Amino acid sequence: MALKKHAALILSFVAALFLDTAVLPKWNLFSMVPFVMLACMLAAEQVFSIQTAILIGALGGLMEDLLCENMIGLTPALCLLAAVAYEKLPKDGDTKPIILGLYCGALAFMVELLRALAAWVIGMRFAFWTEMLYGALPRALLTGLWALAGMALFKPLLKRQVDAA
Amino acid sequence: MKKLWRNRPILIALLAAALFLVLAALTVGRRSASRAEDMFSGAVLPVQEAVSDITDRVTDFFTRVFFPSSIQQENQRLTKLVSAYERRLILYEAMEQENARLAELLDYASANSNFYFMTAPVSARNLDPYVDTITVRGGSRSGITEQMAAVTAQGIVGRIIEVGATYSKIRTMQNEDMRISVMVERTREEGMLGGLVIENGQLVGMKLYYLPKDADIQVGDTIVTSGLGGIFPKGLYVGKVIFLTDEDNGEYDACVTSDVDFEHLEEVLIILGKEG
Repeated sequence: MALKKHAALILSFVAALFLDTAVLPKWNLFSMVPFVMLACMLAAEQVFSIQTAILIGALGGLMEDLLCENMIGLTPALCLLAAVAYEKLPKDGDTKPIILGLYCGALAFMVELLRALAAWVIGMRFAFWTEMLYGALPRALLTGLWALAGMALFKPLLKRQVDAA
Repeated sequence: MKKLWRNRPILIALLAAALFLVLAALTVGRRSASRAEDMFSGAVLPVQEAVSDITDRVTDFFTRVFFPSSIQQENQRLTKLVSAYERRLILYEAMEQENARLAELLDYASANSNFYFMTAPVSARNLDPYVDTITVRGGSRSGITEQMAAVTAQGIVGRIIEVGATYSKIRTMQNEDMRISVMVERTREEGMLGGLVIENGQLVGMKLYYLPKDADIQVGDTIVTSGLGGIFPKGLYVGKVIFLTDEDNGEYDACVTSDVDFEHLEEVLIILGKEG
């Protein structure tokens, strides 16, 4: 029953997993690849609860790391930090979607920044400002847009749950 | 635990994040995958590959739809490249064939080292179905004179009938008026070779006649030049007897066929002279 109730969420989770690891890396449009799992997590946090977001962030991030990364645990850690930060941001039921999108974009940028920091710590060298300006910033903005789309997708689901209750 | 999960999710999230960071620190720079990774990747990879394959197809489709010019340009570039390679391949094949032919001529010249030879590439041949004259590069400037013999490794080709400064014309063995003094290699019996044997419109060989009445000749006998007449040196291979005629026939004694492929000649050897 619970599985059926959250079918859209689970499908979005699976879609995000494959979009991040198999699909979007191939459509490399000027390195502007959104972080779909993060967007999915933030949308779920906005529409449902932080608990749902923690589950998505931890599980999704871990799975993506197992599939692609060589630092297992970095992505779920960053996702969880973003979930906590989103919880602390000032917002209520009247907050405009554009603001929510910007919040998500800012948190996505924070994740990119922390990822770059982790890469620097383990000894990788790269042009920081170039990477931030031409890589991280567009990726973060796109992630914010995806998060807005996710919220629009999850809202009817929540409404049905409330109506059913 | 359930109460903690409901009331203190942020605390749980931060704890989990810290644990994940420790895990990340422990797994930096690993070379081999853990068992859990193996199992998870093994289960997910087939689906991931299928998704990846579908992505490739979708990407190809949109590339073709939205960037047809790039595909067209790539196609044109590759077509040109293939044409260039094809031309080069044809050139290589021609060179390989030429090399084989020249090696054959060289072997022949080495085997007949008492003669001076000159290699002359065939530049033209007449369109007569019974090819009787061919033109070769090399003329009086190269030391060629009329009546010199032209040969290949397969046998006698003909004799020079016309010489220009840079070209020469050869009347081949397939000319009706060609006459050569020959002999049966096995019995040394002499005769004359000349004129064509044509059956049902097809050239079969050359007529061999003037053999002695009691000549011992058999199908398969080798015919070589006798050296009489002064044009063709003695002992050059001409061809083989393919059939004998009836004794009462009287016109000719046997039919001799040459191994030379007159229609596809590309180089010939001109005998310029003899040692000594």
